[in-house]
Amino acid sequence: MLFSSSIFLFVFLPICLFLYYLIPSKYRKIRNLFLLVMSLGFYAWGEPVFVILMLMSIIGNYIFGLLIDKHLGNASKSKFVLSIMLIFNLSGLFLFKYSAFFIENINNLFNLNIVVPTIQLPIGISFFTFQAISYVIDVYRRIDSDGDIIKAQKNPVNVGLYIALFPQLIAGPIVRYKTVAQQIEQRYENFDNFCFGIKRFIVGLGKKVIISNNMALIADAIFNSSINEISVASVWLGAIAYSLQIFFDFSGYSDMAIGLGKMFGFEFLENFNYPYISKSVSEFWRRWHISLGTWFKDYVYFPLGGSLKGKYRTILNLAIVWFLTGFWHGANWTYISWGIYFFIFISLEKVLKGKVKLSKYFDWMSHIYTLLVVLFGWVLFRANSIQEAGNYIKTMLGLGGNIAIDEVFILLVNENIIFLIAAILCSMPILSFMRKRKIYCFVSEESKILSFIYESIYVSIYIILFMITMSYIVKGAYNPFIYFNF
Amino acid sequence: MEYIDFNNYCGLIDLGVWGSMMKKDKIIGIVFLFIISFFSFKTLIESREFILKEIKKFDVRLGLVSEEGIYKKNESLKKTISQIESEFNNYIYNKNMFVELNGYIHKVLRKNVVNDIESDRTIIKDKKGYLHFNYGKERINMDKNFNGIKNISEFCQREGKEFLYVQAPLKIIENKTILPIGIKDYSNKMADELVKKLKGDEVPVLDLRESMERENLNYNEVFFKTDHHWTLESGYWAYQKVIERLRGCLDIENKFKYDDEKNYEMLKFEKHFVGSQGKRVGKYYTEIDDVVLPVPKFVTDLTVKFFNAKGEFIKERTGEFYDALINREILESKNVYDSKYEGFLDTNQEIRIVNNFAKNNKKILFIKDSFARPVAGYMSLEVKETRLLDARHFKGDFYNYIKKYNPDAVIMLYNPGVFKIAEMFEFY
Repeated sequence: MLFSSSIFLFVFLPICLFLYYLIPSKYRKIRNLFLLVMSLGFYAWGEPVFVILMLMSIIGNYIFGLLIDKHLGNASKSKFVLSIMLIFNLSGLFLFKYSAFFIENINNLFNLNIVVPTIQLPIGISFFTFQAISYVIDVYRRIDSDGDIIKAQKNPVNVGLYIALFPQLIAGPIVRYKTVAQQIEQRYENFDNFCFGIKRFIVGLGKKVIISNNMALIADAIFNSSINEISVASVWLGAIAYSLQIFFDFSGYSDMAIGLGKMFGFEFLENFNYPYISKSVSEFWRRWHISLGTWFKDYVYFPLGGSLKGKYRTILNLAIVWFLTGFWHGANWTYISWGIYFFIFISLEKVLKGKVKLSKYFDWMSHIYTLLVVLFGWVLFRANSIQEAGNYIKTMLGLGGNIAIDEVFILLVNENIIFLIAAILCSMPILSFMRKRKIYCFVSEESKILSFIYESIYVSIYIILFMITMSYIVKGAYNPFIYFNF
Repeated sequence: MEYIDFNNYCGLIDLGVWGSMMKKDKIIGIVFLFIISFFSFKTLIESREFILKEIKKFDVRLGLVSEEGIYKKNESLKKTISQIESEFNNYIYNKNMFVELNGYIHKVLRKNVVNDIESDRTIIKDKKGYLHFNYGKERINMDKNFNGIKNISEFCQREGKEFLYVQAPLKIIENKTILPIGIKDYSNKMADELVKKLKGDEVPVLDLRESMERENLNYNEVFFKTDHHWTLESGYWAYQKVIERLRGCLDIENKFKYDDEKNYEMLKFEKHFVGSQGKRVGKYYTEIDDVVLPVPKFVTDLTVKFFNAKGEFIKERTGEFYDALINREILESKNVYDSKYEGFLDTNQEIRIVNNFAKNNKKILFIKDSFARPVAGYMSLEVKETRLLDARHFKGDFYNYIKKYNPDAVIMLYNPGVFKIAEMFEFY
């Protein structure tokens, strides 16, 4: 089920909220059980059979958590359980997501003819598998960064709720167990937070439905065209539109997830922080899909030694992390290359850090450099093959012999100019910028009329935004699902 | 004095932390909850019957799924879920209000291309404000279309029947319709190719696009602004052209002349119709069409019989032209979104019209798309019997039908919008 669907907005969400709050807050366990059942229903709506997989993941990891807890004093036994847990979780991920890719490549490499299985990918498998791993590892580590003790859940419903909680189930953010461990058993729902969650949800929905989906129309029109028939201007437009589409889609989903979480009393961490204003690729990745970056840092990079074992080991660790980051996004060489592509730039930045003399223009130049690296990266990410990405980038650089500008470009710009401007502006913290430059609105609390006008506008913006979003959803506008690979 | 902190989180807009933020948030929260609950309740009430029907079909679907084991139930369940979602979307309370709001937003944004979930149903607005579907965005090979028409034509020739292929126009008119830069439509090019091939093979063709060009018709009045069909007046004009062409062969009089006002009156319904294209964007994006129906002044007596896809008789209407051919409930409906074009002969299924006052025994068979309905309706005033068959619905054998019915003429009338529908040309 998609958040941006009428069945979610008009059936699932109101029923779920109504019944959830019908249960008195003192019955926390019943509320959790209800949320788990609804979450499984939410998941089953898209692919009923894979609920079995979800249940297996919940039960399996619940048992692993208990076993780790039991053998906590025995390092070898708990490590053994941890290894089995990793095999259990990653083999599921491998089977559904990567087996066909591996067989295809083995066939190509050794000229074999092994039958490639056609296995449908369970939606969100990468997200919930990583969360499940996070749970057992956090229990294994026992103490989190704040010094709090993390124990295994005795109640399987709570493990289920952590793994399957519907707001972050299909598109993240990847919530680490230690973030919500306490909230599962003790959270405080209140109407203020609830309303703030609604606002956040409306904003996320608007990002996805109004901006991202309209950017998708441009990107898909261009990426689906034959590369020989489009102009240089069009391919640039396509790359920019895709960059905006994926940002507003992903961050919109994260906003919706965070908002929905708040409605049920959960506090999820932020997942995006205006990544397109970054001045280095490393900074971009601190602002983009923060939960994934943090997950890899906590569960892969640091355990490998991070940057504490010398320059070469650091580079190797980075290579492993970025290979895995790319591969996590999909079973295709394009994703792997995309991960390695970022590894190269991040490593270079690490090596050159402090060695390059910075001019006063460096801020602008580094911003342009970062945007270009990210933009070409998205081409690699979006393309169906490395060759296709190569041809696309060749055309962007004017090396494909394509014409400079064509009618498709004029059409797409004419039709979408307002969405494009809105998307570019909203991808930057313009309001914060205005505040810094003293170009901000101010309203005196003493003036009741001004206060009333301000409050009315404030409320209207959200309601109008929601109504516009609903108009797109009900009309049945283009609504691509970008996470089928994840 | 306090300023508004806009940078509360990485969202679109947050007018942030300020004195009575919680009060505003609560209003937003309450309004949001009211909206989703209201639409949830109203839509579930309206769609419940259809949703229950879909749930009951689960077992039927189970029998149709080819997968085995658990995947069998899974596939059936997925289809049921998909149908439930589709029914729910269809019956969303006040759906038109949302479509109209969406269309209005597109109008404010000056968008001339309104994308649709079905890409063939994307709406293109031309320079004069007429709406179009982009049927012909890709050029297809016309050989199959040509062969289908040629086969029927040759069969009619062998059977001693008159045959005429009538090429109806598309709303996108070559060199007249100005589409937004970057929108291509090859429909007319494909029609040109087909007509040229047919003429080259001596298949009788009447290209109404040429007739329109010759008579310098006001192109704006040929089609509805908001519907993909031509107007009923245009259908009436086309009937005159067909009769002119067939008069010599069929020996029939043309008593209902287009340019003779004694013969007809124009029944006008002002601001009455938002058609197939308009309803996808709502009435605020476009304009509401008038509907003008030429109605004979002389006495008529017609019997119209309607059949379903299985060839079973469904219903009958008898009376004067208006009573027999027109579905009053649809044509006179106050709801502008009701398809007023469907008010003329209701359906694309098989239709038989008998002229009880006919002065001859001529019979005509139309193999056609929906453009032919008004043409056939007016034609029925000239002959004893007129029948209409649509290859999308009629599943019998056309050759046997023609043999059995034994018409004096077979008229095949298609507009270029159907060129891609293979089943309309499958005559082997």
